[in-house]
Parts: sequence; structure tokens; C-alpha cells
Amino acid sequence: MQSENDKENIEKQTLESLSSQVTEQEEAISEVSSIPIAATDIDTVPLTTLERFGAQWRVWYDDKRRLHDVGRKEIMLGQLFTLVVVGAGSVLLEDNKNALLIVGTALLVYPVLAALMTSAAASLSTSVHHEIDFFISRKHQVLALLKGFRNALVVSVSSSIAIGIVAALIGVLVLDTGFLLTLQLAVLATILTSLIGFPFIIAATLFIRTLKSNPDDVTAPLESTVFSILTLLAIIYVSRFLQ
Amino acid sequence: MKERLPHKGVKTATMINTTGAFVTLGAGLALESVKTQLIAMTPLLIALPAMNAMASDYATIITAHIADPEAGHDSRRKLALALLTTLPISIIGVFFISTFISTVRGDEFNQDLTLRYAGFISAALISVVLVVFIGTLIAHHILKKKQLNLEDFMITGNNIIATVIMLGWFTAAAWVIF
Repeated sequence: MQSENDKENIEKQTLESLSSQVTEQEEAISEVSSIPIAATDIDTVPLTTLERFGAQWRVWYDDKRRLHDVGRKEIMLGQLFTLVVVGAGSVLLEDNKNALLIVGTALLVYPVLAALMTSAAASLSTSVHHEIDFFISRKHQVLALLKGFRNALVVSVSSSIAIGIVAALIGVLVLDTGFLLTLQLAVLATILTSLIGFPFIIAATLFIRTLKSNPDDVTAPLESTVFSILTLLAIIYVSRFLQ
Repeated sequence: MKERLPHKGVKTATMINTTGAFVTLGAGLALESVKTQLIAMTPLLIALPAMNAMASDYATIITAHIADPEAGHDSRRKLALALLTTLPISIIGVFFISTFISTVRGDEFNQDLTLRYAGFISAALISVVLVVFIGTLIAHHILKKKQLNLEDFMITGNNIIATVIMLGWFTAAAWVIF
């Protein structure tokens, strides 16, 4: 039932979008060429008008195609960005490794939390990019973004509680660390990383779209790099806070 | 207008995230078992976050492109060509940056070690990309028939698979290769 309502809403919005585009085109044609709108014989429409009409369609098509095409250059730049930032981050890691030893399970939870945050951010970014084109009004677009942020936050925090419990049990049984300490570390680090990282990713996705690039190619390295470093810094900061 | 498959919601995503996290925790434990050897080898320690991030990058790029309902009919061929071009650059980049930083920090490399290290980086990254690419194509085919959105499942799933494969390679490298 819900999916039928969704389909109806999508069809309604699509029709609204198409009809507004047709209205714009009709106005453009009538302004430029002074032809009656209701021309039924294409032979009576001047060639220059058809070319302009065709060129306009071509521009719209190319713009949309660019947003969803594979960008080799963007992928390469993303990898170079990863190399530089993570290389610098590795040096930072070596210099601050003592802080990671404050809570005995910090190195155990770090790869798990980094993967969790990167996945959540990637899902958020792709859903923002793929969903926003289906909404016409600014209000609906903003609501879609807020809903995506809320979903990503709920998913990551609830997952971190489960991760924290399991890591805490391993810590108690194997590594002789405190249960509550590990749980607090996992949850607080996730909340801190989400509150800083998710709005950044939404902003980055929208900004990349304004540059007419496909965020699917550009945000992936951004997410994994940023959240690798951000999660690590959050764990270090929360470890010091819990000390 | 291409078909837009419905998203299944927070509950399913949470379940997938949690299950995948447990699997990654297992891989993290394997890494913990070789922590001493890993910390002793500076290039491996430096390469670890870089290659983990790259594996995640490629997993997300591949999944996002295959799942995009607005992608063109030849997008998969273009994606494969793009991966063939960018993967060598990633391999060379990781090799260069990790050996450079290690050399600056006082480590020395002989020819045998250099070749083994280069082989390890190449094998690790290529295997991740191959497994994720082929797996996603198969999963997309199956999930589409069941009217399920690939984004809900495969972005997280592929990230987990990529991380597990990469951490597995690092564990093997610390024990066997070096």
C-alpha cells in the first residue's frame, strides 16, 4: 500500500516537473520565434527554432548525463586525495599511538567503527544524490536531506551500541578491560564522528553536484578518508575524556 | 523515467550494518593477533589506513554506479575501463608514499623486500576490486528481481567485504610474507 502511494507521489511530481518544463519551453519558443504555440504541422516551424529547441534539449540531456556518468579523472583525484591525507594521518597515528593505549580495546573497535561510519556516510551520500532529483520543491528536498541525516544517525548509533557491547565483552574476557569503558568509547566516538561528519558529507555532496560532477565518484574517497581520520581522532579525544 | 526501487528503511539497514560490523570485528581480532609484527614494520603500518580507505573507496564507487537508476546503458563498461586505469595509479601511489615515509623514518629496503611488498600491495588491491565488481553485478541481478534497492544492502556489504579482504591480506603479510 505504501509503495503504491510512493509510486503515485513520484508520478505526480514527475508530471508536475514535465509540465513546468513544457510551459517554459513554450514561453521561450513564443518569445523568440513568434509562432503560434499550437502549431500542428512541423513543416511550418522554422528550422532555427527546431535547432534551438533541439540544442536546449541537448544541454539538459548532457547536464543530466554528466551527473550520472563515470568520471575517470574524479576517481583518480579521489585516490590521490586519499594517499595524501591518509599518509599524513599515518604519521599522526604514529605520533599519538600512546593515547590509543589508554583504553585497551581502542585498536579493536577502531576498524569496526571506521567501517561503520564510512558505510553510513556512503549510503547517506548516494541516497541524497539519487533521491534529490525526484523532488521538485525546495521544501521537499530539505525534508529529504533531514530525513537522510536522521536515518544515518539512528543507524550508526544503534549499530555502535551493539558493536560496543560485543567489543566490551571481548575486552573483559580477553584483554582484561572494563565493560562500561569500552561501551562508552564506542558510542561516544560514533556520536561525535556522526555529528561532525554527516553534515559535512551532505554539504560536500550538494557542492559536488553544483560543479556538475557525479558525487558517486568523488565522495567515496572523501568519506573513507575523512571518516578514517575522524573516527581515529574521536577515539583519541573520547579516550582522553574517559581517562 | 527509469525505475526507482523503494528503500526498505532503518530497521533493515541497522541489521545489515550490525551483522557486517561483527564480521569486521572478527577481522580486527585477526589483526590484533599480529599487532606486534605490524607495529614493527613501518611501511605496513603506514599502508594499512591508506589501503583500507582505498578498498572502501572502490567498493563504494562500484556499488554506487551499478545501483544508479539513472546510469546509461554502457556505464558498466566505462566503469571497468575506469578501474583498469585508476588501479595501477593507486598501487604505485601507496607503494611510493609508504616506502618514502619509511625511508625518511630510517628503514632500509633491499630488492627482495621491495618486490614482495609491491606484489603484496598489487595482489591486495586487485583482489578487492575483482571480488566486489563481480559480486555486485551478481547481487544486483538477484536483488532487482526481488524489487529490492541495491543501495540498502550492497554499499555496506561491499565495504565490509573489502575491509575483511584487506585486513586478511595484512594479517597474512605480517605472518607469512615479511
